[in-house]
Formats: sequence, structure tokens, C-alpha cells
Amino acid sequence: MNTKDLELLSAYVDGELNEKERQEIEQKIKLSPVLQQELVKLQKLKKLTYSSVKKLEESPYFETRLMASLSSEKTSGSKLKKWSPAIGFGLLAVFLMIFLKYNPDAIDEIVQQQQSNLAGFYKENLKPLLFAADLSNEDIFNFAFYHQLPLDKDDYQVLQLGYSNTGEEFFEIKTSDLPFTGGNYDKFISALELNEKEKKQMDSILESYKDELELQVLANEKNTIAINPNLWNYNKAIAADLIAFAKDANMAELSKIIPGDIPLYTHGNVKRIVNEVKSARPNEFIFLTPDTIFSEEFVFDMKKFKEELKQMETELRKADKELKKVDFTVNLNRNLAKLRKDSSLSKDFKIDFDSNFYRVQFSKIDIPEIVIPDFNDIAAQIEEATKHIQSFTVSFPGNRKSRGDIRVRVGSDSLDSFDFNFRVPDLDSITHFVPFQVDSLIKQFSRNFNFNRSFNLDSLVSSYNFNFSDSLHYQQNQEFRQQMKEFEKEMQKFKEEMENMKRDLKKDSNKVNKKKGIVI
Amino acid sequence: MNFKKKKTKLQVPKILSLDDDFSLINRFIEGDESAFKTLVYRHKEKVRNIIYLNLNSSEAADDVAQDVFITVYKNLRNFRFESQFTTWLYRITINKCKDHLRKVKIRSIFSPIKETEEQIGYMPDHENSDIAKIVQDAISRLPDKLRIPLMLKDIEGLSYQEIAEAVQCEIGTVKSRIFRAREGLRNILKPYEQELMR
Repeated sequence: MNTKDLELLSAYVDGELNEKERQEIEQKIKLSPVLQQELVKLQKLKKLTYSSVKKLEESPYFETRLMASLSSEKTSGSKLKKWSPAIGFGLLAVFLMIFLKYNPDAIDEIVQQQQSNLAGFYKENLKPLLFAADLSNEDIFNFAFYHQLPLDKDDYQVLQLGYSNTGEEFFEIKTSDLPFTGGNYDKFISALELNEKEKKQMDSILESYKDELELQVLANEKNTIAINPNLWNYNKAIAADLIAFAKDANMAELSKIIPGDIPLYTHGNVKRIVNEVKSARPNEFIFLTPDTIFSEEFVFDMKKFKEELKQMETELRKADKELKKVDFTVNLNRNLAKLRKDSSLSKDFKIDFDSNFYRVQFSKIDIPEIVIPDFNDIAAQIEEATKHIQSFTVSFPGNRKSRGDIRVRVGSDSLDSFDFNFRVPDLDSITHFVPFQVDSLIKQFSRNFNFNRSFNLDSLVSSYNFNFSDSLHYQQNQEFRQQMKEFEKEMQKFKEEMENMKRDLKKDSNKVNKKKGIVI
Repeated sequence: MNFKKKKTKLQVPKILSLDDDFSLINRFIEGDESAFKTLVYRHKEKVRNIIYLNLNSSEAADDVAQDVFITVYKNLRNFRFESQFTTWLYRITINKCKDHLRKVKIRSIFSPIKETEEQIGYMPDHENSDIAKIVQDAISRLPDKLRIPLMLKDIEGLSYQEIAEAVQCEIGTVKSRIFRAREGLRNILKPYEQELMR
């Protein structure tokens, strides 16, 4: 028994041998008890394998699930669609790689451009901040000795120049620790015991720096502050200038009050410093913006600025003039003013007035609630009432004094109108006659037209309005009555005829009964 | 006289319509979705079982089987009718199993603790008297290369030809692998021989 036989035996158990192989192995099995044993073992093992493996339970909803996921897959689109974001990014990356390969400086250029754009944005419309602050001599003095420039006097914001421990210059914008009470300059002058002339000289020194100092700090509405680093030099120059002057004026007192860190300059080096500072005037500004801090060249066009200011000033003056032209006249009613004062009234009324309006407010007015009847009802009634109403006019003859006829015209158009002429008594005495006369007239009318007497006569009016029911209506009624009478007569006739017929019929039946007896 | 015979078209009754795999595939290609459903219904259990035996996990069987039939659905229009549908189907199934195992392996790299612990702690339980459990353990200890053909043969009853096509090897190889699998099993089960062979 070799391995090949065992392999064949295994395939034999599986029924996977061809006819020739099968016969061959069956032959061998017959001859070999070992193979027979082996066959039994293999068959047993096969059965064991089959029986020992747990069978999977059927999945009843398999198709349903499959169809659902298939239909969802259909709607989700193609694979390409699924990967489209990745493909997009890939293409973009490739494009950028190629672009940067041939334009290696592109990014730098873009950054630089953006930087200059930003710088341009913040540099726009810069105005000297201190120009608005209107530096006083006191401010300049404080700047020289306390290194502080007021930026916003209302908020006590100052620009503080300082020196760090290592001797480097810095500046900061902060809330002042010096009170803005002032008086430092005056104290200085009085301490030096300067006379009026010397004080004026001192003033002129300070004023000579004012314009230039104002140009050192610029600001705009975008919260940019541009500071010229040359401020430090100005600081030193002003201090030196002042000390040099003070030294000449009163050396003894100066040495008592001078702060320790200011060197005592001589006239010679002051001139040098001042000249240096004034001639330097670098245009390099440090820009402090909400986003960034950068240093760039900037030339402030003072000429243009002053022109603008001038223009503004003239415009303002113009506007002022215009404003003066407008004359407001306010006429207040005295009574109204009185009303306003009257405390008892003011409980009920509140009166406001100024040049443009006045308004009276009623606070405690009871507005009675009126029940408004249903207007549709009234309209129907009115319509019904006016259905047969017509108007007619009575015109008196032009000459009142003469006796004449009164002509009454009824109806609105000629086809449907009736004219009545009747005599009127003397119009002068109409007040005496008319009641009697008109009364009789009305009676006459009433008989014919069935209308009510409901008017007053006035000797002064020359026309009257009468309301009365339609004459046609009346005529129709008369006709109807006549017809009814005729109908009544006819009915009477018919009745009589019927009774005659009855009588005749009775007579006939009596005759028949007598002749034939009972007829069944 | 004209004896023109009326041509009557013979209509195949619905009940007699062919429903072998090829006919179903043809009907599907012509647009009959229900033919695909029939195919699924016919083969799903076999597919699920092959997956189950391959992966040794009943939970994964359904998901992978779904995946198999989705692939079939998408590619059925390109079916070339050169081999049995089942051959093609089983090959897809085996490949999906391999894909799944690969994914599990990658996943286990990132969460290795539980699974490796189980593997380390794995010992054949000699005290277990439950024969089925012993045989199962023995089978699971066979390498996949031997275990899968054995399972396909003994459990699923595939022919050597079908197995060869599914796992993409020669019939002779299948024959020898099944033989070696049985040899291996017998070796593992030697301690229980008397018990098992009673």
C-alpha cells in the first residue's frame, strides 16, 4: 500500500475516479485487507466531517436585502462619480505641480502682491493724527521730557517712547499714567524764573517743532497708525533745544529741576542735533494695523492735505452761511401754551409742540359706543319707499305782484308728465291766503292722487317739492275695480243660470219617475 | 383552390419555459430582472455555505454573499457561456472570501489584542468529549489550502472539477490536497481514534 493507492482510495471515496481507475482500485481493495480497513476509515472520516460541521441556517431575507442594496447602488451612480472628488484633487495637484515647475516664483510673487495690496489698503487715506489733537506747547514740552505724545485726549491714550534695559528704543500706545491736568510747562517756566520775553522765546522754540511733530504720527479710519521712528530724534532734539535755552537763562535753577536722565547739552551740539534731525526726515514709517505691523516708505503730502483742509473749511463756511439763511419762525399759540401750563387740563390732554409740529394727546376721553344699524336693511327700506316717489316743481310767475297762474309739472320727462295750471291769489298777501287756498288745492289733489299733505308753505320760496303716489297706479286700480265689477256681474249671471238648470233637472227627473217606475 | 395554411405560432407555455442557468442568464440579459432573482434563489445557500466554510464565520457569510451577488449582477451581462455558471459563481465567491480575509487581517493590525489573545490561548481541548467539536477543531487547524477543497467536497459536495475551477488549480492538485487534508485530519484526531471510529 503506497501513498498513490491511498490518494486513489480517497478519490474513490469521493466517487471521482474514471472507470479504469475505479476498476483498478476495486481490484486492489479486494486483495488487500489493509486497503479495506483504510477504505472503511476514510468513509467514516468523510461522514464525520460532514456531520460535525455546523450547517448554516437559511437566510430568508437574503434576496430582499440584495435587491435593496442593488437598487441603492444603482442610484448612487457610477464608480467614477464616487471617486470624482479624489480625481478632482489629483488633477489640481498635477496642474499645480506643472505650473510651479515652470513658474517657480509664482507663489512668492502672489504673496508679495498680496502684501503690497494689504499695505496699500492700510496706507490709504492716512492723516496726521496729532494735527487733529492740536498739540499745545504743554504737549510738546511733555513729549520732550516725559516722552509722551497725546493721541486721544478723551481716552487718555498716549504714545509712549521708551528705552528698554538694553538701551533699545521702543514705543507703545497706552493709557497715560500722567494726569492730563497739565501745568508741567508752566511749572518749568516759573521754576526757571523766566521773564515774559524769555517765556515767549521758549514758546516759539516749542511751536517751531509743532508742525513737524504733527507729521510724525499718521492714522486713518481703518485703525492704522503709522509712526515715524524719527520721533526719537525729535524727542532728543526738542529736549536738547529746551535745555540749551534754559541753561542760558538760568543754569542754577535748571540743574535743580532737570530729570536725571537728560544730559545737559551745550549750544554747539544742540544745533548739530537739531540740524541732523530736521535734515534727516526719513520717510520710513512703522505701520501698526489691526492685522499686522510692517515698516514701509510713506510720504505724506502735507501740501495736498492742507489744500483739502482749506477746501473743507470753505465748504464748512458755505454750509454755515446756508444754515444761517434758513430762518425758523415758530409761532406758538398763547392759548396752547396756557393749556400746557394748566395742570387740571394736562391730566386729560398732553400737548407737545416744537418748531415742526404740535400734537395734542387725549388721555381720558370716553368715546361712546354707538350701535350702527345694519345699513343693508335701511337701504332696502329706502329703496322700497322711493320706488314710487317722483318730484315735481311749482313755479310761480316771475312778477310776484301780478296775479297769475301756478304751473305744476309732474314727472321727469315730457312723455310721462302732467301739467297742472291753477290760479294763485295775490302773492303779496300769500301769507294770508295761501293756507286757505293751498288747503283746498291739496284736497283737490288728494282726491285725485292720493297723497298726504305734509308741507309748509313759505311766502318766500318760489318752488315746492311734492311727493305723491303714482297716478298710473291709481288708474290701474280703477280699471281693475271695473273689471272686477264686470266679473262679479258675470258670476251672478252664471249663478242664476246654474240655478235655473237645477230647477229644470228636478222637474225632468220627477217626470221620469212618474212614467216608468223603478228602473234597476 | 387555394389551400393556404394558416401559420400558427407555437407558444411555449410559461410553465415549460426553460429555467436552466444559461436560459436565466439570457433572460436577464434581455431585461428580465426576475430571472436574476431566480438565479440568486437557486444558488444563494451554496454560496453562503462556501463562504461560511471558508471564513469559518456565519456572521460574515451573509455580507460576503451579498457582495458576491452584487458582483454577479454587475458582470452577468458579460458572461461568456464558456463554462458553467456555478464555476464562475464559485470563483467569485472564493475571491470575495480572500478579499474579506485580507480586510480582516488589515483590520486586525489596528485592533490586534482580542484576536491574537484567542490565538495564543488556543489549545486543542483534549477533555472535550463532544465528537463534533473535536472534529471541528481539527478541521479548523488545517491550513486553508487543504481545508477549503476538503470542505467544498465533503460538505458542499462539489466535484473535483468544480473545486479546481473555483480555487483555480488543476484537478490533480485538488485530488492530492483533499487526500492530504484527510491525512492531516487523521493525524490530528489520532488521540481520539478509538472513540471516533467506534
